Amino acid sequence: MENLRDQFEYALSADPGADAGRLADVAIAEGGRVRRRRHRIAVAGVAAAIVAAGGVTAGVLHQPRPTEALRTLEADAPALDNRAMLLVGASSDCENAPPGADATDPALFLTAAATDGQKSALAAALRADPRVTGSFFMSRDQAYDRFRKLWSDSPDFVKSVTPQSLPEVFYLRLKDATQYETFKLDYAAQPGIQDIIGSVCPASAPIGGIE
Amino acid sequence: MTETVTPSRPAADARPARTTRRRARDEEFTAFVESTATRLRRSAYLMCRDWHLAQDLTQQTYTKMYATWNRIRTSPNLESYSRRVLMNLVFDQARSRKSTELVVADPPDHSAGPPPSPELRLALVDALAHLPLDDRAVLVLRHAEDHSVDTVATILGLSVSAVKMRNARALAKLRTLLGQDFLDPE
Repeated sequence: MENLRDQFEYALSADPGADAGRLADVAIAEGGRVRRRRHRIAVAGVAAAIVAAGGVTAGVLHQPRPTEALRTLEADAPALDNRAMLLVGASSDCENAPPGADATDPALFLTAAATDGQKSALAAALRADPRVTGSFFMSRDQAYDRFRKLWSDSPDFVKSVTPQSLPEVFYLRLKDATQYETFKLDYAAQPGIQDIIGSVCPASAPIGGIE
Repeated sequence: MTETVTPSRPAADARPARTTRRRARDEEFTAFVESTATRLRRSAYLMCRDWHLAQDLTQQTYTKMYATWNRIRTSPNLESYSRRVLMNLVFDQARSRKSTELVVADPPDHSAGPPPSPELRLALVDALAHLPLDDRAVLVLRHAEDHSVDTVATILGLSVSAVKMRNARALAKLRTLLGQDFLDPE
């Protein structure tokens, strides 16, 4: 036994061994729970912060259930500070499109100050746009209804939100997901538009993942 | 204004992509555990002198790592990261009394000279238990795991000179505990 390294080796020779596969399985089960819990807290916090800051896009409010939002967030954890991550479509079948990627379902969030004239101009433009195969408009009241149901287990959070803090949204389905980038460029600068966020939805999902 | 037209062309199917990604992530994580668990568990043992507790600490380390796997998986030195998590767990456990008996157990009494051969294996581990946790961590990382002084410093969040100082101090103490000829780290 010349050196300390060997002495350590010898000290460890009584190692009873352990099943690494089992270690991994337990870590995946337990660690997954930890992560989901953490995201639930983070999402509630982010959502509350967005609402407190004026509501703007608040895409998270359109989730059918917070846990669905979490599941999508979980896949790309670092983006929690990105509001776009919060819009993952109401259906768990939809997921948020990363920046620069194709998307099937753009959501056009309107500014709080968007006028009726701007809204009907947008509606007409979308109707005439051959890239758009389906669309619907969600008013503040509709959004608020969904929001209340979605967050019914967090009454304090619900109380902190009014219909006025929620945005109006055009939900769209594109004919071809690869057209999303140019579509977004065409509309991003239109008056009344605050933000455009893309989701990827399967054909079977409702537009924007909103039932 | 509500107008819905059936999409004329199938959109990308998102769900299988996500499931596939999760499965790939879990496989990657499992491969990481399988290739690193033995060394990690052994270092945990050297820190706490108890194989069951070592197993526990190892499990906790991997659980914490899985919880943040998306964020850490591409970092250049995951093994160093795992040591950092492990050592923090050991330190935390020592700080929160009660469960500390094993981590900072009272050192055994037979430390005067080199014990007889069958006990040799335990002698080093027992002697380690005489050292402050920080010094013990330096010895384990530096000499059982063969990490460079720089890496040890990074793992423990210490300066390089602090690591060298602790290392020298810990070796001197071990030498006293185990006898001159027992130790020859260089």
